[in-house]
Amino acid sequence: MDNTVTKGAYFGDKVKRSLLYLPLVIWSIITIFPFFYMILLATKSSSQIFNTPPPLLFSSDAIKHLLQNYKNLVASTEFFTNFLMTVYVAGSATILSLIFCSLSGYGFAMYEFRGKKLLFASMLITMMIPTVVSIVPYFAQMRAFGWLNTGHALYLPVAANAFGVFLMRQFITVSVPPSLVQAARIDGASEFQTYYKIVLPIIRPALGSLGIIVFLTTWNDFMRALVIMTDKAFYTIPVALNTMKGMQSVDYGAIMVGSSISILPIVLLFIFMSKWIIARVTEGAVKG
Amino acid sequence: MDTSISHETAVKHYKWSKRRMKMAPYMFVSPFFIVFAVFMAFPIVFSLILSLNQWNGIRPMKFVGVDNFLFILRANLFWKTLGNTFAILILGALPSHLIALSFAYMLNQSYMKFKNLFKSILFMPYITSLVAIALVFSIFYGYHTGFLNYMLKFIAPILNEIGFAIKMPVEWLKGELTWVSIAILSMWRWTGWNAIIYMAGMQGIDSSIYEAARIDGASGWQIFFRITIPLLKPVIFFGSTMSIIGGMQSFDDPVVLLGIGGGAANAFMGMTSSIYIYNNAFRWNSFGLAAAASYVLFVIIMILTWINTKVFKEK
Repeated sequence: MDNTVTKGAYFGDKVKRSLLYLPLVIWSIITIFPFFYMILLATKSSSQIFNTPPPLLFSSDAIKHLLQNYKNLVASTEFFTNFLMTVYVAGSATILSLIFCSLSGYGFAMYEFRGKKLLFASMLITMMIPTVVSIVPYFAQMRAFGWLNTGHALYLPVAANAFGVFLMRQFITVSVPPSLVQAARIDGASEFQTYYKIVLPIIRPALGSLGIIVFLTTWNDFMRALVIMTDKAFYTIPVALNTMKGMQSVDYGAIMVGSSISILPIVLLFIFMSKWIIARVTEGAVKG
Repeated sequence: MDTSISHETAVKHYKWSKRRMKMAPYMFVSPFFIVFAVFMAFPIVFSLILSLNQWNGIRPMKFVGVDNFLFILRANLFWKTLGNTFAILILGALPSHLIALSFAYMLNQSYMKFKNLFKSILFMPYITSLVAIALVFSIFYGYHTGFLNYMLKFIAPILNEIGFAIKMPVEWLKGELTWVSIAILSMWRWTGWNAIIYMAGMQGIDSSIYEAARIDGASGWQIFFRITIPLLKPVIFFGSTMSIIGGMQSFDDPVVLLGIGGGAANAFMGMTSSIYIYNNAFRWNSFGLAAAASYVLFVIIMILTWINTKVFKEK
């Protein structure tokens, strides 16, 4: 083969290859832009937001408006309480579902017992039933319990996470050899000790996936919180933000401050742990 | 091992450990199943009972048989909302999966750099609150001073030249365009997630297959369509199933964009099935109708998933 031709082809390849970045870069800009715009609008007054042309850059009075918007946000909502409520609900849901799902997943993975198939099947069936099917009776039930406007009305149902049990069972079946469990028994460990001291450390990655998924979905959950939290002091952040948009005069600056605060903890967490989070969540999706 | 244990204690121990083995699984499984029975199984069964009763949430229930189902199946608004939901699903999911597949293929090439950076950016929408993002989009879609209309001002003359006349300013949340606007938001949210799922799937394909194809002189396109896509079928099946199940339950974003009324002033164009069910229960106080509608929606989702299974098994 002629040397120059090879060189030419190589160059052409290089151009083609670098062109591949174009769609990815465009999509990245599209992806990041709403986040940028959210923070940008948080630093604008209402009149600036609805200017023509719309704002595109931070102005020198950004900090002043940001503080003003924050003041408006705190004045028109119980934002601080709402934030704590969201932390409380998402945190409790995560811890409880990790405990319940890993215990139950271990039970399904390592033991044979009467009713096992029936229990497992009933669990899988509920995974296919949409949330709206249970939303109406769920509300009636919580009202009957007197649990409207309480955190546990939101996190206890999340702890009954069939997907989580399924994920744990899969992971334990694959990664915990039964001989190891048997060895622990012979050494005199109780069944619970075996689970706690031998199995839990092994399934840490799966606990990570489930924890992240449960935390994100509960943190962002809207429909169930909208139904359960009827008093604005008990709203979670998504409900509080949506309510602000429904008000007579919508203060978008304040809403954008609230939105930024609501996504900030998660985005920060993600920036530092993105590789780990992506691996865990895709694992949960592909294996589950 | 201690050999001094008498035969008797050994038998005792054996019996005890046997009983222990019998009890243990129930101890492990029961905390979950107690919560599950109260908060998952009971509401689902209760919902079925509700669907056969008339109930405004306060007065005693009245048994009405299948009347609720008949009402729902004859209600124009139910079918309209179902149509809206399906239209938004198709308009959003189809392009999203096509883009995601090509992104995954590009990022899976060995010569691509910044893979982790792109992956992180692609993944960001998935972790953020849909409500927060929908609020930003509602500003993008603004009529007079929205960002999208502002950008369109520059593009509209060009489009006009090549024969696509656009009436400015565009009303993004009116008429059929409502579907497109909600679909764009769902594309923004799910394309990256789909791409990452597809990437994970592509990494599972044995690279020797690609090597062989390349030696046989296959082009990049041929490899994509003849090897990657067919081998990726199980993952595409998984991805499309998730889109169907999730998309048919769409609630958060249309509520934020159009209000809980689902755009009542706008012929309910943005009312999805879930919003319809929510309204039946919590604004129109017919819990029975809401329960019946939710079961009809469940059956429709099952049918769609079944069709999806067929599509992926046939070819």
